[in-house]
Amino acid sequence: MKNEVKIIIAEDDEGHATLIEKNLRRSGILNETIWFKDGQETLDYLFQKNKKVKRESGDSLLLLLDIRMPKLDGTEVLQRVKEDKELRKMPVIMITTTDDPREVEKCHDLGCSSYLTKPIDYDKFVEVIRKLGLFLLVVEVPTINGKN
Amino acid sequence: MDEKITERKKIEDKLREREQLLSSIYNTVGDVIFHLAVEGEEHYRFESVNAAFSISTGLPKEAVIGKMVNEVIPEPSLSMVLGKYRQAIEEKTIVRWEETSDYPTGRKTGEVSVAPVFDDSGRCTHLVGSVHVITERKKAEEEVRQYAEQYNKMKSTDLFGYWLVDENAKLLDVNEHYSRMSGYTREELLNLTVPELEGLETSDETVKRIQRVIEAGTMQFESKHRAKDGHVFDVEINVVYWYSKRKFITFINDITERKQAELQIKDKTEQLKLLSEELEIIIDSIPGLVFYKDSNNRFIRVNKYIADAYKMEKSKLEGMSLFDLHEKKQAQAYYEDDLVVIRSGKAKLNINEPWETETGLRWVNTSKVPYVDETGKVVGVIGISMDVTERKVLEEELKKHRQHLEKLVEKRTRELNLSNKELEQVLFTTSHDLRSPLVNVQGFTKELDASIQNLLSILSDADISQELRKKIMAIVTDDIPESIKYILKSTSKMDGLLNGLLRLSRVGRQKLTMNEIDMNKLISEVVSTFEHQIKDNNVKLEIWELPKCYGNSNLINQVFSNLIENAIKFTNKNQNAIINISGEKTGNRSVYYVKDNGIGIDSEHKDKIYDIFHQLNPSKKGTGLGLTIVKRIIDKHNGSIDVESTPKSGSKFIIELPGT
Repeated sequence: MKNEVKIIIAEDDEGHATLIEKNLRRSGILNETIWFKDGQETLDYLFQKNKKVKRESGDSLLLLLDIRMPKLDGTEVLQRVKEDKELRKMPVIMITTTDDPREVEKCHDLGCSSYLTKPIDYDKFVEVIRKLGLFLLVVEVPTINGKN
Repeated sequence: MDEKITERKKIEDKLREREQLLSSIYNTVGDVIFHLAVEGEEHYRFESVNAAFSISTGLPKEAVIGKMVNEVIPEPSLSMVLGKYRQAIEEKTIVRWEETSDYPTGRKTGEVSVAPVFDDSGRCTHLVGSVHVITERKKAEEEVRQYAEQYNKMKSTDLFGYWLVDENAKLLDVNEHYSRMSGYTREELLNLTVPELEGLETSDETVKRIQRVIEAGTMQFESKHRAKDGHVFDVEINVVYWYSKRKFITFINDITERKQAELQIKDKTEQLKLLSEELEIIIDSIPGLVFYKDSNNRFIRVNKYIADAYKMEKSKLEGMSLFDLHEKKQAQAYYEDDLVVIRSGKAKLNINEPWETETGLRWVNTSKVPYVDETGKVVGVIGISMDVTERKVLEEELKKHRQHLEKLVEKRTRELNLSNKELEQVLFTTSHDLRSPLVNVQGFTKELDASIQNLLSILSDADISQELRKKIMAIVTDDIPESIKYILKSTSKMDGLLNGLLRLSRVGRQKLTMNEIDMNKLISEVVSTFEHQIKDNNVKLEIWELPKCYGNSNLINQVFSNLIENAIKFTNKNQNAIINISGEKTGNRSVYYVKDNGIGIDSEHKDKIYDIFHQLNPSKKGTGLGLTIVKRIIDKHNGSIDVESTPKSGSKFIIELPGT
């Protein structure tokens, strides 16, 4: 994965975010990560409404999206992203504690790239994140609102 | 000449002598003789009558001779007499008849005979008549003779028996009929007395009765007589006391048949009376209004119930019109129904109508049928009304209650659905939300572990005293890892519980898509996921042919997964573990059996095995949710689950599901 790809972590649990980031680093993913603690913050950033953290047009983005979040939940964020003709190019990987088949199906229907369940078993969790890291290393991420 | 004169004189003398003789005979015979000249039709003139004529009729000769018959003989005899004269003339014969006429001497009865006298030319010139006057004695004798004849005729009647009895009750005469009635011959009877024939009265009573008949002169009474063969027959006695002869004339009428007929009639009348009394009692004891009305809304008959309700005698009510008893509008309404029945000749049933009584408004259910007279004409209505006020009130109340209850149930169901939904939502949310911190607990515990490894590598190069190293090492290699071990064990346990709860909440939240399920296929899929455990535990698995069922295959899969998992778990100490899965169709249901020869379930625990978090064997791995989920899924399928179990020898789960 190109270094300029920014990894956005939408995760209300700071611990989870920390664990994800730590293990991504251990897997050799050294890209910039930006963490938002709810759906609203995430959308504001993506739709360039966030005043503190500004998204530059033409950036390549990858979204790690939790489902259960305050204000706006992950599926709503996903839906809004996929409705936008630019943002829809961005890969969205669901990382969630929910393994409810209906939730999984719903996210796939909305157009998520991948769906990962957070295992509580840490070893498995590490394994999942490592696989995610490997995936991110090979994936092509298009630029959003870019020229090409 | 002298001789001739003498001869003529002799003849003349002889003629005179004869004439005198005839004349004296004529005038001395006791019978009336008269001589009539026939002067034309119906014109008869007396020429001579004899002395007996004057004596018998009291009419002197001068008053008769030269007179016409119609001047002497009074009507009505005259017309008959003239007819007889004409008959004698026309038939040229002597005509005889008996005649009674009133004369100055009184009523005379005589046997009259009239002979016609004809001249040479054959013309009737005279009638000679004679009357043989019948005297009183002769008449009496005649009467006696006739009475005797009548008496004998009467006696020979077949209508009734006859006795002539003296004052000592001895039979003096009997008739044939009585002989037949009694079976005695006439001779036998004439040797008997009344008490010997009497079948009811004692001889004392007979004596008394004789006395009473003497006093009263005549008597009619009923009694019984005993026939010769001993049988007793009913008689009606008419007895007349014959004062002058001091005898009793007795007529005996056999009234056995009449008596029996009377008895039968009496019996019938009695029965009829009983029946009508019975009917009245029945009708009076009917707890409702029973009535018969004429075609003018008038009561003809009412029962006691009606009388009580109107607080009036039955007899007073009968004949009263409903227009007298109710306000016009209501009375008219009742009457309209009557008219419908009367005009159509058909019953009108189950009329629910108000009925105003002394004690307030009641509701009655009335049925009216046409009352038909013996000619088939509808002359009124027979009705029966049952008071349904209480029922109506109860029905109203019941309706109110039912509506209230329905609302309540609806509300409760809504609440329950809501709370069920809420509960499931809470269950889902909490179990889900609880996982997030758990990820952290475990994650950072592992991080802690990693930090310790770092610490250890730092320690190995650190320049510190042996004593201090030993102390630190004890903490880092023993105490902390021990804590970490327990933390991880607990988080893993909590993870299992949360997973179970999540699955349980999903069963509730899921909308079921039902399909026909090939259970042979489903079970083999389930079994394949346990392949390792089956092999490891050396379990012998028997799967028989299974019927199809109707359900959600994911959920049914979970049911059998849990059951088979349990079966494996609870047979793992048994060296000859056998799990048997079988099934059968019963009606439109499919029944499956999952049988093991494991540790079994104590009967006291049977009811608890489906409770949430209940673990029969806490030492075993598990969440205590498996059977809770199984039960939940089966309930959602409207099925049932039961278990037969003997501790130490195994369990058999019986699962009933909708068939196909």
